[in-house]
Amino acid sequence: MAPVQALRHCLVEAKDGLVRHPALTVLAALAIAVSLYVFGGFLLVAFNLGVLSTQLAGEMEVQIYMKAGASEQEIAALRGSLIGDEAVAHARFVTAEESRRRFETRFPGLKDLPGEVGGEIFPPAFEVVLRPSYQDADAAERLARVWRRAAGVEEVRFDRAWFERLAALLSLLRSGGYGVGALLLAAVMVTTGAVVRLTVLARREEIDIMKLVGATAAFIRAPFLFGAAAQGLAGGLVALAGLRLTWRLVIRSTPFHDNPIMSMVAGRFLPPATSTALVAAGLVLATAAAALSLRRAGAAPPGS
Amino acid sequence: MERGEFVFLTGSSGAGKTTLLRLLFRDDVPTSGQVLVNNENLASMQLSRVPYLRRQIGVVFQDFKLLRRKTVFENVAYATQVIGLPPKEQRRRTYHVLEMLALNHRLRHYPEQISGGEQQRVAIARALVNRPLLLLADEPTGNLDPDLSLQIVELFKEINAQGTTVLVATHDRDLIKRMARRVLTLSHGRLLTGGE
Repeated sequence: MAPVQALRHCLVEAKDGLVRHPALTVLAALAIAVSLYVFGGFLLVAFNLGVLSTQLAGEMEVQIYMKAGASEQEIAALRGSLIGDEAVAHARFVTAEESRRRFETRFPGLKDLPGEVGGEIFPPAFEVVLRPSYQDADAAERLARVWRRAAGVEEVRFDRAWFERLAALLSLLRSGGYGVGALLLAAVMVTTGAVVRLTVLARREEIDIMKLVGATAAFIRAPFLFGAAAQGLAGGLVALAGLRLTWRLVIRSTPFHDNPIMSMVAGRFLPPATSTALVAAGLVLATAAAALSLRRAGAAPPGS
Repeated sequence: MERGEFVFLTGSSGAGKTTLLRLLFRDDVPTSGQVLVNNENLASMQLSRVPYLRRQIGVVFQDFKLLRRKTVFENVAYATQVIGLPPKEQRRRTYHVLEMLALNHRLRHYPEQISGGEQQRVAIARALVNRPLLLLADEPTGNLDPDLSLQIVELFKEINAQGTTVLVATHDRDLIKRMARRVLTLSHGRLLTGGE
């Protein structure tokens, strides 16, 4: 059969199949939509927690305090060393004067304290943000040991407990996220497979007749696969639209504004690439489920 | 059976008539032995070859097995579409066979809008449209009255006269007597008479 003729046959038969059983078609698309909606909700929370962890990582700094009498050359040498260090994402030098201003801005009630204490209590310092692969307590400790030995350095500090909490959170997000994600994805596949199988079973008699007149397995299966792909696509689009609507309702709700946790787990909507992937997942999963169901439901090669 | 023959297959219910026909169009496989159709052993045939075998065999059933959502024309044309004929040739062959079976006034009707005899003629048209070497009919007159049954078997005779080998499974003894053709009799899966 010519490719154009074959494609036309597939599209016409797929459309016929979908139109002929409207209730089943809508049910299948809705079932796919519901499972993808739940999966999309999970992705939304995972995405926002991912953003949160990135923000937290950005706040995780190592402070390198310079001696009060550190020379310009020593400061420049350390700056050069930090810029060339592959562990450093960003390093900013804060002068003693800038440190003092910061203190006064953040703690206006205590602005007289430095004068009362006396001495130089705001040493110049480098604020160093580490690259993600170095954002754990052990790596930070190793780097601090090296920087402590640099000329002009008084002290190197970082919050080890904060590093450890963030590392634990990221580990939990990754392992928990993969586990829950895999479970939800499996649920989507099972649901999609079940509904597509139902549509195949509804056309069992037709499949038998196709086999009887000498249709090849590809000729029988292709329209079902096209139909399932259309249902999956529709399901994915409905899921995405539902998710977007739910998200908009949530961010406008009072609990969202009253509860800071809500903004952490649902502050942003899925990025365009993930949204597209969710819709594509509906199409791919429905097509794969249809292929499996066709084998099980008797649309295997004739005579089998 | 020899090429070009017209043979009746008979026997009581459960004798194995339908099973034998199913073996002949590779809807079932034997547990042992060979099934030879056109010098090809269906028992060892690869699954991927089965559709091509079926395109050489027309099958007619007692319950017609027509697609209810398709018209008479579409039901018959469907068989030509399956084998990948160009659309123009599909239409030409379909018109021709429906005309031959006197169904050209029913082209746009759906199966439920026509009589049982007409539905069986549509099923025969579908079985014939790809010009099969062998026509298998399983109780083709089981749902028809005696006059219509006779008409259908007369039709098989005409098809046979054009060169198609015909095997009709039936337990209608009157019909068999009227036609005076070779008869194979099955009982409990074994051939009793007519195998010579």
